[in-house]
Amino acid sequence: MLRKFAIPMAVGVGAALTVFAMPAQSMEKKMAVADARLLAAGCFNCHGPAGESQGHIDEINDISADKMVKKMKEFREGKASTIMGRIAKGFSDAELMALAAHIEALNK
Amino acid sequence: MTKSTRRDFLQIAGATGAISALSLAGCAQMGKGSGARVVVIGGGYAGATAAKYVKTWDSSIDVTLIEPKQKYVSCPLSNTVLGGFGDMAKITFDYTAMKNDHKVNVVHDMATAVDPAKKTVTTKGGQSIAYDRLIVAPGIDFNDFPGYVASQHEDMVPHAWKAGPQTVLLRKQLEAMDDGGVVIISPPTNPYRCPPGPYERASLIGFYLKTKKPRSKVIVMDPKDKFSKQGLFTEGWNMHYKGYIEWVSKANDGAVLEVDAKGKRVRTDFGWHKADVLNFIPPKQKAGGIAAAAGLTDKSGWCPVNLQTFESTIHKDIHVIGDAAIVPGMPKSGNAGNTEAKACALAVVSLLNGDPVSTAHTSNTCYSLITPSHGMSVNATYHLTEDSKKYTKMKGSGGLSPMGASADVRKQEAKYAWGWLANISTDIWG
Ligand SMILES: Cc1cc2nc3c(=O)[nH]c(=O)nc-3n(C[C@H](O)[C@H](O)[C@H](O)COP(=O)(O)OP(=O)(O)OC[C@H]3O[C@@H](n4cnc5c(N)ncnc54)[C@H](O)[C@@H]3O)c2cc1C
Repeated sequence: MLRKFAIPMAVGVGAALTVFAMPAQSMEKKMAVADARLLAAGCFNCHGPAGESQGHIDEINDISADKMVKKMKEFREGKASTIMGRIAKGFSDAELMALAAHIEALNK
Repeated sequence: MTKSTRRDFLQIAGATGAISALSLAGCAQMGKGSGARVVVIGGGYAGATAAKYVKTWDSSIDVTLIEPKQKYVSCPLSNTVLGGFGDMAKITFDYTAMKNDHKVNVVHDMATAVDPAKKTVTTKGGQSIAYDRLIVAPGIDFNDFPGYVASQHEDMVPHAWKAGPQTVLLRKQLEAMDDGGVVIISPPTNPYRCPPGPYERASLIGFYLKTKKPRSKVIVMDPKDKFSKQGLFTEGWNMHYKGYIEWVSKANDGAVLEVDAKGKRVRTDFGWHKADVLNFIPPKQKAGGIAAAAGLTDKSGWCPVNLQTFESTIHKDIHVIGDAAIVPGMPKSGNAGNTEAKACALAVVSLLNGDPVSTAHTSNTCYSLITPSHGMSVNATYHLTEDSKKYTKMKGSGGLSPMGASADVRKQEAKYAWGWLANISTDIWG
């Protein structure tokens, strides 16, 4: 786990996605997308470093980027949850894609 | 591969949708940041996160963490110790992994002065430690209050607003109290560390009394007329603690004006109120002492910062994070401090490498327990506003657990509270 976490980070992944991803809502187009390392690290406080959970909360180190984006969009659109619905609504499509790609890369 | 070609490559990879680990592996961050010195003051939720993440994102940077304590005791979930079902070991962490796995130099000493011109930190033990960038995360301190000076009175009347011996003392006082006793909790005025904390505390002390000393009660004497997660707490109190918890608002003479620590009494407009156990949480909180000593505070007692980089607006090359910083839009919580620290760590790494600084992105997830199996939460994901003057939630996101949720949902959130502690503590000290 430690080794994986220490893999050098994806400089520019977030930036790349800002340019190329097409957010669903026009409001989001204006919003700068943070660096993917930062967006991904924002998941680790609840889900554990690199997404490896110590228990009680699901781990997210074993799902593909595509699946993570899909799941987050489902939460955002109202799939039943205790807290993920509230959290997922806080991310644009571009942010979701950036963080999911980064977490997938960290755990390869 | 040089840095710029790596970035070009990634952009192309992004364009074709082919982002993958292969583009990341093998390109260690050993750029211009190499050899730079980052010093962090304070190894709590914010500071320890920053130390670890600077090292994670650029292993060539020399990181020194100054923290007097060998062991850090978490305030989050410390109220479970007061409730009689948590234990100190579960909320205690150390710096072994920080030293051995993350190669942070940990100096167990107290920072006593900062020289922003010479860029050095002096410690109580007499060391002088030089930095290129300094991150200050000393948490909070208390201003004096009529009849209550923390350093003089905390041994009689614990605030337990810094976890550790204070938590143990308050627990002991609760254990020693006779059945039929009155516990008075006096929460602070805004702004303060952990807005829902006093009410979680009332709940869990209520739990202890209901299960072990059923003729006793908790009175919350509040200098405010409303409080964090009020609807959810009130719902929980009605469900579990009828007759055990009484909340007295400011309008109903709840505001404490003076403390008599020896007599365990508090005075309000109306007169003196005697407690068997008194938990006074000082209302005038401010940034940890070193922040003022370093000239980083404004007249509020807290530290103004640039919200993208967390660099002080007073002193260059010094960043302030966690409870000590003024971060409009965000609460003073451990989770908030952890995410501020990550934004700050990345900014520091970028600045030392001469790279552009990312926009910040932070969050807060704060669980509160009403009983061991009744939990609820408030959360938010924050973006920096376009003028960079505050953090805001994306429209429709974040917020509170719903009112009237099922017992299963409450139980799930209580479990998540412990899962959160296990994971955030590993993210920080693991
Ligand atoms: C009862 C209670 C319950 C809480 N529950 C939650 C919760 O459920 N979730 C949540 O997110 N937050 C919670 N909080 C809030 C949380 O504890 C704080 O917001 C968090 O600890 C702030 O982190 P920090 O790093 O700024 O300060 P701290 O965690 O206090 O760390 C500061 C560190 O700096 C060190 N230090 C101070 N001065 C110096 C110096 N001069 N030199 C070197 N080191 C120094 C201290 O020893 C300390 O280790 C709770 C707080 C309380 C009191």
